[in-house]
Amino acid sequence: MTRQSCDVLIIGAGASGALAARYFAGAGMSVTCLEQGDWVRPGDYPGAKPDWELQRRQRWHFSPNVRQLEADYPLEVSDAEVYPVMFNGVGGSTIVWGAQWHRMKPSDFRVRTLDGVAADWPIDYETLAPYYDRVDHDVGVSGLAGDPAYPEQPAYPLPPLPIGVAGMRMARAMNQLGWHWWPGSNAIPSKAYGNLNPCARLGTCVGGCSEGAKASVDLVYWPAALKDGARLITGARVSEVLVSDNGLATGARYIDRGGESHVVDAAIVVMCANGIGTARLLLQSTSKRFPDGLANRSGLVGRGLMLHPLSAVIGVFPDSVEGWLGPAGHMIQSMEFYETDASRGHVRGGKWSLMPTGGPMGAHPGLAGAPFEAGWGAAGHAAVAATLGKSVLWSIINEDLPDDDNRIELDGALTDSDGLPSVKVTYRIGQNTHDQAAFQIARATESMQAAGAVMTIPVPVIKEAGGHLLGTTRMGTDAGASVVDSLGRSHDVPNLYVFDGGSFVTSSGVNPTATILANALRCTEAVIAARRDQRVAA
Amino acid sequence: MTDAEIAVAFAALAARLIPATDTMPGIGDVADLEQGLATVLNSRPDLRGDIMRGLGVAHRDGADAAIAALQAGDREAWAALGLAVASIYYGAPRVQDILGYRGPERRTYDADATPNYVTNGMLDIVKQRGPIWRQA
Repeated sequence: MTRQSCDVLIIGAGASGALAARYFAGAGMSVTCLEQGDWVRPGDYPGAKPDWELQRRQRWHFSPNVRQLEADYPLEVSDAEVYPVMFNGVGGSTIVWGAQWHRMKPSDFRVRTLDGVAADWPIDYETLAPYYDRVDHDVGVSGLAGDPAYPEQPAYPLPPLPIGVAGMRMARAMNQLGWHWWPGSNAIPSKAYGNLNPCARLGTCVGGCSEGAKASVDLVYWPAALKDGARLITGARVSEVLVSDNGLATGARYIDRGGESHVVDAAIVVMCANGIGTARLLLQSTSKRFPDGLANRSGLVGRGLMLHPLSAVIGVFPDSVEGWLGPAGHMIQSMEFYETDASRGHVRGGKWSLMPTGGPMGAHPGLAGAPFEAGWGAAGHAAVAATLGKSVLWSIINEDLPDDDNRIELDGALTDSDGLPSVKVTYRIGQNTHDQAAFQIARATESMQAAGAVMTIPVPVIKEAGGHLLGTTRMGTDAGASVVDSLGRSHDVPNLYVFDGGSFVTSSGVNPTATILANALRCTEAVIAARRDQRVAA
Repeated sequence: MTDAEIAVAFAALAARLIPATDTMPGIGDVADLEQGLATVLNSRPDLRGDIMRGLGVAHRDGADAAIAALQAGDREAWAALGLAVASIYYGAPRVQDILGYRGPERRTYDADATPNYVTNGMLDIVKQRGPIWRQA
């Protein structure tokens, strides 16, 4: 066993952990980050290789249950209507994210006040806006300012990516319907930016970008963090967060790939292991003082899980729309049906992103599970000929409201490769979300038809696409109704913080990474500013 | 099964899954299936067990009976064989030429050029409708 110490111990090297490491180290604090996965290099990804569609279905799949890598922990999902997905490695889930980049809107922070559901956030849009502005520049967002779906904001650092044949066709249809659209904002550089190359439009973003042209945080934040002295230990699976007799965090114990246990002592511990992993670790960290898990006096650690059930509508056109070209990412976005409209019979809404449909294996009905007669032979040929390159899809994020019965718990039987208890997921899609999805799908179908689609295929829920892991350690001012305060500090353990998406109060209807990063930057700088007053164990 | 038996069983199954039609060639016309299967297994060694199990059924009972049996009783083997066959077929240059799809494509563009949806007024229509975000 080894023992080392630092000012700040960060658990998890994904989006929030990478940002925190970069800014803590930049402020001169000693930083150690423990990451259970490994580094991935752009050359490892299959995106530009002939067998990319084959590889993506296993080694580079979103789901840890499909990849089954040593760094992954299995998820028990028999009681889940949507499966959480993630990537465990340096960069976290930004390795396999689509890099669609959105701020939350002012109304997203005031759901209780405006719509009478869930709870308001303890912060508002105006608080977060300057941090959004800064992380836009950190990651190199490509986009166009002036979107009437948002309050005024500064120009993005890079011009938007091409919207392509498909984007133009859908934009014309949206104008015809009088509905909002805007060129997609993506954390994918349209020109070389920092450590990133310009997007080549391969369209294989979500299997990892082989061009080094997607703002995964292993490329965006980690090089600067390491240059400033941050220490990143990979293959380090944390088994528990340690606490002193007086209830303060003292660091963490981890297991290396050889099975040996080590301890890192720290003045401050920051949890950045995503909305599943952080809650799992806190529940694992039981002690005499915290018998129900660390930071869990409210009983809310693991509860309130939100996953953003994704819907889609595929439109098939009679001619080519170059339906395999990137960004993927998205070409255009629509927020026409984002804000609450009481006449629809449900509250809240969602965002649409126009995306390519990919290559021939994605178009093949036999591989999608159709029976032999309908999926193979002449039927398979006909379906590929009809859809390959001629189809495009609206990916629709449906805001799911927090429900304490949607949760993660430690699984009594399932373990990871180190024998640590893994996670059972319970997740049901609420009626409001079902209603919302049905409405959005109907409107998206209309838009495809207006654009000239000869066939539309609705997908009510994409089960293996719960990639937004939110709400399991939510923030709030009431210690009985939340896990952390507005700066991510545990109500129960004042030198223990949560900076990942677990702290979200509600999920909004947009991809969360911009908000995770902006909020992590806000919280990191607050900790740095108050470091002399920080209570520590030693 | 011997290597030769594996090859025969795989070729028979592949031919049933992807036969020739009026517009498309059959898989046996465009690919060396023995080499193709080796390439798939090299790329996805996790598929080996499922594929060999499925081929065992095909070797014993014939392709048509195997298709029925695997669909009904061994979805993993059925899915793995489908993946292997499709990957070989759509990776064949002749098929790619016919489909006009040669794998992920690099497409150059001028990021500094003003997009046509700006110059032709399409985006002005969106702006003219005014803000759609809700005050909070």
